This record gives sequence, C-alpha cells and structure tokens, in this order.
Amino acid sequence: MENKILVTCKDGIAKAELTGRLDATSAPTLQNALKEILGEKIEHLVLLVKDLEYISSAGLRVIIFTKQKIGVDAKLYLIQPQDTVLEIIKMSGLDNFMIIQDSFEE
Amino acid sequence: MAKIILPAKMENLGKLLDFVRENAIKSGLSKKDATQVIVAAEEGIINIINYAYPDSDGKVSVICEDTGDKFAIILEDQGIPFDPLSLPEPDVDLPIEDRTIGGLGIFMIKNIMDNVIYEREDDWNIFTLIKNKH
Repeated sequence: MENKILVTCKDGIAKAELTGRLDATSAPTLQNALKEILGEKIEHLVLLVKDLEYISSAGLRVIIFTKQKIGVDAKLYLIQPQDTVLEIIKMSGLDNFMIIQDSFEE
Repeated sequence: MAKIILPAKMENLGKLLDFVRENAIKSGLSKKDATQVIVAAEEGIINIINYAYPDSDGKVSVICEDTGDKFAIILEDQGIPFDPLSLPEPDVDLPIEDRTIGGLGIFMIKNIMDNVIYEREDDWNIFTLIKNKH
C-alpha cells in the first residue's frame, strides 16, 4: 500500500490520516505536516490509522513531539488501529495517553 | 543465511527492511512477530545510517539467519565504535509531556527481541538481534 499522509485542522480538531508505513523515511513528512498546524488551537488530535500497516519508533517520536507541543489538555485519539500497529504502540507505553476507539464522532 | 550489503544511506532503508521482512516471514515468524522484528531492525539500521560514518561514506550489512528455533538479524558496520546497548532507556511510565524523545528506539529493540548482543571485532560493530520462534 502506498504511503499517504493527510493532515487537516478545523474547529479545534486536527486529523491525521495515515496510510501505509510510518517509518524513518515517512515520519519527517508527518512531522512537517503537523508543524504547519501547531499555531492553531487544537483540542483533539485524531490519528486515523485504519490503513496504517506499520509504525516504527520514528513514527512514535513524531506523535510524542506533537502531543507535547499541543499541550496537556488536548486529547489524543487513535482510531481503528490494526493489531500489529496497536502492539507496537502498547509496547512504547503510548497507549496510556491515547483514547483508542473504532470511530471518532465530532 | 542471507546477506545484503548496501551503502549506509537513508534511501536504502526500505530495501534493507524489505530484505528483513522477506526472511522473517520465510523463517516462519507470525505476521505480528515479523512486524515487530522489523521495527527493531529499523532502529538498529537507522543508528548506523545516522551515526556510524560521520565523516565518510560507509556500508551496512544485514544478515538474516534462521537457526530452527530462533530468527537472528546481524547488523554490521565499520563505523566508529558504538554500543547501542549503552544508551539510557526512557522511563515509559512518565506522563507524555515529560517523555524524552531519545532512547525510545533501544527500549523498543530490547522489548521486542529476546536477546540482543553488541560486539566490537577488529574495526567492526556487530549488533545481533535474536527472536525466539514460539
């Protein structure tokens, strides 16, 4: 599956749709896309990962970095992770800071 | 045993990881275990690409070995001596706001693999990552 990263931000909700592989080669693209929206007020950061097949620590670092920048009160969502991705996230302990669910209702 | 040698450049990361994936699946690891092993391999390879050759171009060699009950990945380079296991581990129990970005990679490697060994032989760094088959 082709790697694709789509970041949007509207009414305090930032969404990042991640497809394919989030590894050391694609993580900088996500980092740059998220930096673009850091100036806006973000209450919810929603990671749409239904079609994400792989995440490495390079990808995890971008998530940690972004969450630190948007602040303590912002909520971080992980929507529809595949088992392989969820296992990696659990191993890093990041699942403790995420709301993991099957869909995101605005 | 299967071996691939390529210049230690970020553009080769995909090829090197495809090689590990192919051999991990061939060895009979589950999809879940194979994916995790690739995460560990990526971290080790990235370290070599980013830090092994600060002043020159060099190569990275990736060896995959199936020993029957274990799958091993051996990463070799002739860069500056560097023991990845010497890096401090992050405190993963800290709140996300206090987490440090560094050290996560080696933490993941140690958690994913059943055994990791660093050796320095002549001018080679040899980093061996072993996963038990279940």
